[in-house]
Amino acid sequence: MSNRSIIPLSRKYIIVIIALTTIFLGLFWVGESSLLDRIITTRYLLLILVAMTAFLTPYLLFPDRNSTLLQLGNVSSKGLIQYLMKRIIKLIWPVYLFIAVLMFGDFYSFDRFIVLKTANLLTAYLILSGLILISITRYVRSGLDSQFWKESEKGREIRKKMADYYKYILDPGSIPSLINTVLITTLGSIIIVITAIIGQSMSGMSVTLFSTLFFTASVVYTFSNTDSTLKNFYASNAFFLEFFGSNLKGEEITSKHEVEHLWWVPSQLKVHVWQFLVQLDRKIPTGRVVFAGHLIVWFIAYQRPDPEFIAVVWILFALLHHLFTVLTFQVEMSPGWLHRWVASKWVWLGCRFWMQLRWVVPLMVSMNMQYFVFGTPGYGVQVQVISLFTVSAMIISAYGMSALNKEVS
Amino acid sequence: MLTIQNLTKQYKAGQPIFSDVSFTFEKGRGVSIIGPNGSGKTTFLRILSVNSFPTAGSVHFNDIDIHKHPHQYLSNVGLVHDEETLPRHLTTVELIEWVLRSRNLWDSNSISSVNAILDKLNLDQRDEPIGTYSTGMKKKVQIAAAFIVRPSLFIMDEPLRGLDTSTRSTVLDMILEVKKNGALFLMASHSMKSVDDIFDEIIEFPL
Repeated sequence: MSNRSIIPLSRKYIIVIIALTTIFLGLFWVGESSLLDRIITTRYLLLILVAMTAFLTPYLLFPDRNSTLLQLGNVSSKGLIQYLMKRIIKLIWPVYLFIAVLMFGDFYSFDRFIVLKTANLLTAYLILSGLILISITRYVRSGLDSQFWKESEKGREIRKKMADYYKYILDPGSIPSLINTVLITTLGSIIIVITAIIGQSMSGMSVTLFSTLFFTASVVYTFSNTDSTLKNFYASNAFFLEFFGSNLKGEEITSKHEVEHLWWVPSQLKVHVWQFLVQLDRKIPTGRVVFAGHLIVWFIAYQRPDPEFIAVVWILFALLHHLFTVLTFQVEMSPGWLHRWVASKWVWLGCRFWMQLRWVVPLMVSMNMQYFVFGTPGYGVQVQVISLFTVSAMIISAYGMSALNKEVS
Repeated sequence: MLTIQNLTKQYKAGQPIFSDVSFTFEKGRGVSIIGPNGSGKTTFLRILSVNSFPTAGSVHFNDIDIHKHPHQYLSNVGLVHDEETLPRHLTTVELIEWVLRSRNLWDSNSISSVNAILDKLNLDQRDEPIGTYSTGMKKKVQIAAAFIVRPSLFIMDEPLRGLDTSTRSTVLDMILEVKKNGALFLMASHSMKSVDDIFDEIIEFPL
């Protein structure tokens, strides 16, 4: 009997398109760069990935749609960790591919410095994988603590103090996640700095050895005390299910958008864009995330890298904005039956596209300010960034529309 | 009003859920769709709500082929879907505001209309995110959204599932009222013994 893949053909095409786009972007960025430039570029990229791993992991892991199935199958702790790793890798494999292209995507001499390139690639993989493991482990273990802070008297006092003294509404249930974000970002940054110092003062192999040690430590950390992993996972999943669903009671829910405030949206799309913005802002603080992204880009620009380098950083940053659109594809945000009932497919295409246009002005302002301060990115690059942003916004919105169609056929 | 012609649906070749089915439903009628689990009731209603496409045959609503002009057709429909999936980060009031505005039905009196229907359905947590609701509460949201747009056709799959006794009776009263006003409604359930007085026609699945 022959085996048949259950992955639909369209999904395979998407994988190929993502892979080709990743390779193209990598070659565009470093195709003509020297080995040193490649190493530095990878280091900067790792810094960004560290921050993203620390911040995004709980959003990627929880709440887990398959948790009921996992309970039905009574999966073991080790099986659970493997399942979580597979889930993450399924999402971030283009990042691994991109790093490989950064190291080996060489127009002139693919095989020159092959040992050094391999060693640096291995280093990057080990650091990133180790950090992902630590991040998964810490967030999986954070559920009970988060629940304590959310439901206890102590948490209530902190919330009251923050509101009284700092006029900031902090959900105490988010405190362990905030601590995890800071810890993981700090740990990742320190590891990258140490590898850079070792790389400058010792051989490339010493760097690989150090990153192997780090990865080994992260594996030991993850697989130590696995007896409680399942309990922790179910507790965290239950907490985040409630947290993402019910943390918007009281004061926060009153600070809502008004449809009429969306003066920049055409009237036919206004109410549909409005409901997406309301939902997105309750799921993730989009404005703050984008602001943090601009800060990271400015931090990189402050290091005065090559103009081509900063151009690619801007392009990547612009494309990353579309993760918000990807979030709107989730059933919890866009039930297909409701969307079909409320509006036509073309409305959803226009609505998702227009929703993303709100980031164009901040992008343009930030790029122009950076050009004024550091002399990059030039106007040509700015046009490229905005054009790519706009075209990709349309492509992703069209994908959402086709997915809505596909659901019924 | 709603004409079903030679409708066939099959998920696998040679194994139709139903085949060559034809019906005509006029306005002001109540149609009960009953049958055991897996008999095809939901599939039938999903086709009528354009959430599924037929293998063969067609459905016309006042001469509109519903699968060729879904948006034009659905603007006449109030829908209670078989799933309770709703946008979990919106509140009920926001969701209904969205639905009303998308049909250009929002005006200065809308807030009081929204509150009135939610009072009737006894949904007090209307300003909390739908993600925090129980199954029955989500059903109430769907019912409120379906009724508030004053459609001429109701398609309701198990609208009473998960509702408490008093809300069931309220919903049945609401159905009787819209029926008197000339709306056609099709409603599926496992059993209609307790509510058969509001229906004019019963279709028993499997067909």
